Amino acid sequence: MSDVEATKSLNGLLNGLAQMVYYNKSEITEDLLKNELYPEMGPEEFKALYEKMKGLVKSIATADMDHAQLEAFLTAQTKRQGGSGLSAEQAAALSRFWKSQRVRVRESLLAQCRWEPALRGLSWRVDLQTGDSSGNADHRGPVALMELELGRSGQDSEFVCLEFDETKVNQVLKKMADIQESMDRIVHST
Amino acid sequence: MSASSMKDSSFLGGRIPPEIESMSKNLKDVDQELFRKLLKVVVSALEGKDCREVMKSIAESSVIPQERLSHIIAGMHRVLSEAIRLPTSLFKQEAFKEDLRELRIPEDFVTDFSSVVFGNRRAALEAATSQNDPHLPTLEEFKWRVDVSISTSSLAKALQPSVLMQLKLSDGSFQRFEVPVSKFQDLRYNVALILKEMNDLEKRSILKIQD
Repeated sequence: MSDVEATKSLNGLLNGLAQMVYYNKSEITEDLLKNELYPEMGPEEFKALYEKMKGLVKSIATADMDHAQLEAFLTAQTKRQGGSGLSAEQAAALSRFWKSQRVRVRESLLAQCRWEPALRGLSWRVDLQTGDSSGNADHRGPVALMELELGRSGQDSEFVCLEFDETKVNQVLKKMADIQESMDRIVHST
Repeated sequence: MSASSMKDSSFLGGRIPPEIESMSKNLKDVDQELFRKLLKVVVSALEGKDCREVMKSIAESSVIPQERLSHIIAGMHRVLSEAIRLPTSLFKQEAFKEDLRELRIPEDFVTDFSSVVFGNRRAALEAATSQNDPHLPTLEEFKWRVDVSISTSSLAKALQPSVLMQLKLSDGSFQRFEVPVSKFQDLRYNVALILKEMNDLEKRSILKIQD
């Protein structure tokens, strides 16, 4: 296998691992990665490489390493002797991988420890009621209809529909400002 | 329905509802004091208040038999609910009075009816009847909490703020959910946008509230 091909295969392996472990893509399996990326490699050799990379990615992800931490970590790994050591090419591939996936992997790990349903999306519309069964209603103010999309990670969304008049929207917006203020306080103090 | 066609026909439509006809017959020897008491009860009922007790005491102290009172109450209720349906821009006070006179309702009572339909109680009555429209649940209570995850089983150093929101809806249900910071910004932006849309809508002259 040429260097270029080796790098390509390793990139594929790392991305495949991320899909499997962090992004819940169940169609990606160890066998699939072996057959697609390393068809000529012996099963035991592949298994070792696979487990090594999986372990390294896990260490990097759990610690949410920044650039300096990652470089120090990878340098230490390349200096290890024997089969557990990392080649310079492998270290470079890991570094590139983490640079592009860090934010997404972190999001996924945070979501793993989120047990309440999370807000996934929001759609809304503003209506003006012009009539009803008891007569004409054109004296009434506009109404906001809001649909909240909620869901636990890995589960289908549930939808909650709500109706607001202008006063209520105003109140909610005020609370949002309070929440923002509360978050800003944390961010500033740390 | 145009304003001109309203003048041609009664606000009650082509056929006078039976309870109104029967009210008109039963009102003959009712004095204005009793009429006003009854009217007050009916207005309260339309506003959604419980008036059983008040009604009972009126019935007990009145010389008019209870059955006749029932006819009167039913008719009043129908007159008022039919009249409140129509927007004041199309339905004028004079037309209303004229329609009632045609039903042979005494002039003093016509004036009393008219002051309910076109007076300052109207807004409250409209608001009360609109409660019966089909609605989506509304927000009754909104509680929130901001948490910062320090560390989790999958992330050694999380330090990630998130908002936990709990909504109590008018249908009695509770919704509790987490809002990641990025989604919170999204939510806040959209709520502000909704408010702006609502404000803009009210400013547009074509949709201005008509008095």
